Amino acid sequence: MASREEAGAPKLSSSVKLVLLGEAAVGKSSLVLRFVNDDFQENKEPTIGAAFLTQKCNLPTRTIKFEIWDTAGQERFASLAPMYYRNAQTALVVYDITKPTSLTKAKHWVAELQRQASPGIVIALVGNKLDLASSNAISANADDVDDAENEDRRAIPTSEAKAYAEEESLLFYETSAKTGENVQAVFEAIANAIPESTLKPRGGAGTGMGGGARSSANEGHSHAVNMADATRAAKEGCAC
Amino acid sequence: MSFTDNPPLPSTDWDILITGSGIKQSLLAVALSRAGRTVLQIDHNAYYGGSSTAFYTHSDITTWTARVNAGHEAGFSHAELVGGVLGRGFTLSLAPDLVYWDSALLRMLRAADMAESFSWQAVGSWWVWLTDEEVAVPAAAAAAAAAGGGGGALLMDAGVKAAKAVAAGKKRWNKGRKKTAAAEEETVGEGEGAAVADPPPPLQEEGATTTLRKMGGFREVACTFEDVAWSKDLSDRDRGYLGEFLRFVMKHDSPDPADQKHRDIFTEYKTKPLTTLLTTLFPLPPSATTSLSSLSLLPTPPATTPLSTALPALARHFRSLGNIPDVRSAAALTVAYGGSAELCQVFSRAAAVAGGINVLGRGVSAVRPAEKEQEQGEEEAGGKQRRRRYKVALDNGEEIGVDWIIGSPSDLPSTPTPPSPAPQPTTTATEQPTALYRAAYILTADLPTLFQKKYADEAITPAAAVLMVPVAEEGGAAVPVYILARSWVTGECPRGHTLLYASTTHSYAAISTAVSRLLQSQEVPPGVLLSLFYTQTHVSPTNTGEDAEGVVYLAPEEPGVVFDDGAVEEARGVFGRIVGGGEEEGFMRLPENARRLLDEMEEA
Repeated sequence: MASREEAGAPKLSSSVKLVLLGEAAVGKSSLVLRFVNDDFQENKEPTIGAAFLTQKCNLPTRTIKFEIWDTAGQERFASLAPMYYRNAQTALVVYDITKPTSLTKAKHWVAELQRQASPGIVIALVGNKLDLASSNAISANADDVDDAENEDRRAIPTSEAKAYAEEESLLFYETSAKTGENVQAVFEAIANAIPESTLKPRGGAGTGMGGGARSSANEGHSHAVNMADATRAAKEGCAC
Repeated sequence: MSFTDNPPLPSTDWDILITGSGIKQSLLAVALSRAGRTVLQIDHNAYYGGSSTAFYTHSDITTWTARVNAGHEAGFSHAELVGGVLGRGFTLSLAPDLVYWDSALLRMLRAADMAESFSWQAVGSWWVWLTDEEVAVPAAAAAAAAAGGGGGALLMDAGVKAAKAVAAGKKRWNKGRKKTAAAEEETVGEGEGAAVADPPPPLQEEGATTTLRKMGGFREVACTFEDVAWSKDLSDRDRGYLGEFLRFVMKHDSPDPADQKHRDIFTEYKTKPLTTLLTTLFPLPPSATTSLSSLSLLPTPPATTPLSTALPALARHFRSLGNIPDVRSAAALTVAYGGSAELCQVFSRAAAVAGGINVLGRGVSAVRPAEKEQEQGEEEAGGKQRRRRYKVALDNGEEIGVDWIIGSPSDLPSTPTPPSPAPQPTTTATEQPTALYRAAYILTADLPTLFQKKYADEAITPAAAVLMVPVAEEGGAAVPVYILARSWVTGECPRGHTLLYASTTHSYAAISTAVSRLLQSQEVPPGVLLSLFYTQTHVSPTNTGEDAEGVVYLAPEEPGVVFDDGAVEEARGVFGRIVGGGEEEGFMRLPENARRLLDEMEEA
């Protein structure tokens, strides 16, 4: 794991805000859990816990530390706030390949991102639950005893989603959070696709939850008051 | 957004229903969710924040303006939108509040592990509009009064110092105002050091320049030791009294027996206006009084503001000053991306992260108590939830059971029982003006002078500044117009723009005057892209307190320039009432599992 001291090395190292979007129950949180912990939980409860999770992605030319923001269920009731999209450098728009309405919903989210998010945002369209499609169902069925699971439940052809993604210049992958297939690949593709100009140095000004005021980090001087140090000082002050 | 799933709620049974997503509602949504209660937070608006919301598009603004003028936005009236069409990249906030370093909000956010959830920026400088003639008026009359009166005796040792300052000042009165001689340092050092934490500056060379900036008719308000020490507008004697006054501000509520004299002065002058104190015990020139009063951010002029109101406001300023890391000349912060509007959004998300459910675009249509007879017969056997106190019909036809309903009266159209006489609100019982005239301006220029670093050794460049213009009222005291200027680095407008937020109890005309003075004070007066005027009425809290068991009516939000810490205290009180049983201390506390998750991430 790269230490802070190594951050001075020529290799680019940067924090990137990634937001998840997509219909409820398409597997957004499961994708993150697979990427962050290499884990999968059947019948996972809707997301509760942290405001965002972090995970590093080491590439030959750069190290990207993703701050992965989950919707915390707010996509369900029209309750995602503008602060959610703000300063997101990349978005993962997820649908379920077995559920046609979920792609329609994904297209809406893409349009919403193009309207609301930063102009340079990198969007990846991800069709999840690939394990439920026939070819995968057969290859991954060694442990499955239930024949019903071998059924091909794919409802959205790869070609259809891929064509749409190309039209809108989105990265496109089909994944399985359950088997892990393509999950790492999606995040690596995103990490590669983020333009260098939007990468800001790690620990730079304004990397709070709300993100720093846009482009202020490149000004050579800071506008954001460092609350982390101040908080620590306040706590230490209390202790004595 | 209109294309969401709009599924049925995940449950028809909740511990708590919160209506609205203003500061208090959103705070309570986080606090109660974190305390393990099941929380449903709804808002009939399609956006967060209620009266503290922000607008992101031109149509957001026009829609709101129309609703205000149709009487559909409680607490708002007389909205006027002037100017062009707003493009992309603007955030116009109804609550661009500034937050003092020494505030209940920041203390609470730190304890809640949420301080870093925001991008905090510094409010760099305060400016007041003062003409040269106003600045030239010495504290002559006041000085005479103090020399002959009992002021010195009352102040005891402080009085001695003040008298020394008077003597010194008298000797050098004429010369002293012109030059900042090294001799002045003696008197300055005595009073000022206590209030301002900075070490004394090196001895000033003859003829050195002041650290106080000027911008057209605006003068920067002294905020550091250097400012006061080297000000060309203050005499030695003024400096002495100013130091004593600041010491009094800091110690007026000190429990230390040694500060008895300060408490005595406060007790004696509590009901008298700030001006009275600043012309008798601590005689200062009128320009200094105006400057000091601008730091209070109070809507009333110093001649009518009672000391009981003015002093806490000044104290929070001076207790904050010098403590913000890397920007010692600042006392206050502001939250990027819309001030309190951003607070509301982040709190609501934090509530969702803690397991609460937020629903926008949904209101309450009816509330009725759960029927008695059912309650008796059905002390449910195994597994079934116990009966909730209230049945609430939502405006999409869903019905839910809840134990607690929290909201402002305007969000709860039908009350379960006729409200009993309201208990007194717990907030400061001072007379609040009934209407606050407010305006937001978008300028088509940066105002670099306002946002410059004050000192080269400060690492932080300010993103906001406060200006105060006293506007004379016929036959009365000058009423302050406050302008909060926010630069593009707040993320609220594109580069090459500046946002101004003005407020006063005087009139829209006073705002126009004040803003035009600011525009004219720039080398090239900037253009105005758009302005939005509106009136915010302080709704008298007739319907607050706990009217029926399980129903909490929140007091209306206090509009103002500075974040109302009373909102935090009120939310804390409501939280304590609901959770009870020794859990009150857990207000906003992060649950243990979430805390572990955070710690793990920090280590990674």
